[in-house]
Amino acid sequence: MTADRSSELDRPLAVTRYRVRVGDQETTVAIVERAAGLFVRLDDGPERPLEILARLADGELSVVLDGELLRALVGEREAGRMIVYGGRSVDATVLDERAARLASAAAGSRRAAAEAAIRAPMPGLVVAVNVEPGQAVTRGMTLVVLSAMKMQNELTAREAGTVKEVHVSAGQTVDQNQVLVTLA
Amino acid sequence: MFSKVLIANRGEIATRVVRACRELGIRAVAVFSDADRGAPHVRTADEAYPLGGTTAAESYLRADRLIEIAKRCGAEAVHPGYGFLAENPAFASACAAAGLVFIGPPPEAMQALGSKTSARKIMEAAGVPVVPGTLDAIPTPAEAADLAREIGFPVALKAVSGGGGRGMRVVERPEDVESAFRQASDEAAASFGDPSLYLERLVVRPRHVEIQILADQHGNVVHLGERECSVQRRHQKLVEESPSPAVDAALRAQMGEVAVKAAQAVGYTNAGTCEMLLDQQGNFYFLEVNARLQVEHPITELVTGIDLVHQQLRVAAGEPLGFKQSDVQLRGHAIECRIQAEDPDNQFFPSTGRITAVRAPHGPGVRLDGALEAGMDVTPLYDSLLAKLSVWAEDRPAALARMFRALGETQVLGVRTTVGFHRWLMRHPPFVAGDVDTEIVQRDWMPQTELPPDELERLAVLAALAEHLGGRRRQVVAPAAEAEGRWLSFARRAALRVP
Repeated sequence: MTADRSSELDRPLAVTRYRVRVGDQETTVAIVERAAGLFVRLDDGPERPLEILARLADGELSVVLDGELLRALVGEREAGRMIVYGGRSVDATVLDERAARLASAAAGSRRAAAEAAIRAPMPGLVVAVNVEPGQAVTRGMTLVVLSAMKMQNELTAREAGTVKEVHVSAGQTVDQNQVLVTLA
Repeated sequence: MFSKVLIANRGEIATRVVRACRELGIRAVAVFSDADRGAPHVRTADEAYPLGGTTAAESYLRADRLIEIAKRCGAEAVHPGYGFLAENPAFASACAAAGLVFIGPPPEAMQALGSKTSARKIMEAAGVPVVPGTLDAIPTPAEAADLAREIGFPVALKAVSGGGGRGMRVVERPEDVESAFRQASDEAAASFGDPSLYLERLVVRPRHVEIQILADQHGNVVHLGERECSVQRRHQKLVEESPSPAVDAALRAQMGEVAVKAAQAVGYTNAGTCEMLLDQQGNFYFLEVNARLQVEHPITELVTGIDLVHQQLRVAAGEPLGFKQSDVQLRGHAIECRIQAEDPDNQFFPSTGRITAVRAPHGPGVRLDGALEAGMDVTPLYDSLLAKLSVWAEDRPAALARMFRALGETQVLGVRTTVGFHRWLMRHPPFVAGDVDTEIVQRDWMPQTELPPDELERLAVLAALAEHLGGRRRQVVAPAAEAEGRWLSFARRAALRVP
């Protein structure tokens, strides 16, 4: 069911492009408005019809994409949107084309810095810090033990590296997202 | 029967007990911390009183305040739920001293079972099989290391006063004993107020199978079959089912008999659970008795047709059990998935935040026990269990399909949940084949960092479309608690208005 682009009458009324990033994966989504209705194009793929069934105040977004029903909850997050669909919940960053171009210059350096920071996944009490600056760490090694929700949670290194800085010490209370250890 | 019962708990289990009280014509009294004012368990009760404080220690663990409130409001009995004061013999004794019925086993039985070392001694003496290990608390890390070498690795360090996997560490190598001992000991001290640990041989690739027991005050003890609870992370259960794919009628009868024997050995009454390890060869060992209602009790209710909370209330009021062992028949298959506010893709770390929208599952064979609703804040103060989704069907394959369907209907916006993990599990070949052990999550679960292309496409379309339709416009979700507050204040203003 591809739109008939040969017809002059069915020229797009508007095309808006968004860049959507989920984790490390990025996709370009073009939303195409035509007299015949709404269509969507992913990257260089074909145009597919999109029908909106419901957009409710609590976040429900139900659509039919090329005949397939998608029922989701979409909410706002600090840095984008949270989408709950098919038992999965993901955070997505959505930029329209202009914003994406502006952001791309700074993104490289910022992303590298973010990946090296070990942050508190929740507020809690630092029970132990197992590493010191200059120390080499292997993937999976426990860096900090954080007590929260009646549990001792071991925060581990996601990649091998060297400890650049330790920002907290045992006995200290930390907030969610606070940087605990920086790896280089 | 009682006419009024105070529920000394919060969250889904408080709601569960409120429902049972309603069904038996008992007035249900809720209590709440400052953080829980307006929480679902409070708003569903008949009466509610503030405990003050925010942390568990300042609120739901305040035995003195709970008893004072129960006396003042005229409650005759206290239901402790699970966790908090549920297995605290001092609280049970204090209730009795204040003239209140504690809905649970007698304090003496709790005392005997509460310390796992004393429980092991009693069970050994009663002829109940136990795992090789020490019977006493180990004073120092160095002594723990010596003992571990004697028993042979791997070993498990466990909290003497603990349960639920807190204060527990598995140690595989001699050089790790001392640091594990310190961590487990700190965790035990923080969670149970007692740092003592004991040690035992780790049974490799065991199943965790438990038997539900029910005992009245007239000497009748029955068992209600088993629950398979092997799917765990951090030694805490995520999914349970009944019956267990590894237990046949003969083994069930054998394990049930042992569980009944364990209950009789300590003069147990009310509902309780005998946890056991089942090895690959079909040998089973006593682990501990959980002297309370278990989180996963709904699946036993689904396959036996017996309401455990009703039975708890009846037994505590002095009624004899209305059925015998031969009346207990398991029918069909039940599965429970614990919907936790945790991120399965990031080591099951707790996820906090405000829940802005909830889509609950419905339909044939589906049961949801929960206090889950939009507007609710998930804080690091309490447990991360949001709701328990249980299904019943005529056999295991049908139950797996039904659970997969119900999970697909379950959507929670605002925090990470274990729903995606559960969906994966329901179609994970070893689980589908019934081949599980307590390490299945650690061994087989792969965090989903890469999305399959078709899924990424759908999510990208949804995200872009939400942006397209709404921009950064604010959601107009009214937190349920506040919404009700607004209606109440409007009603109050209307009532005060002079005509």
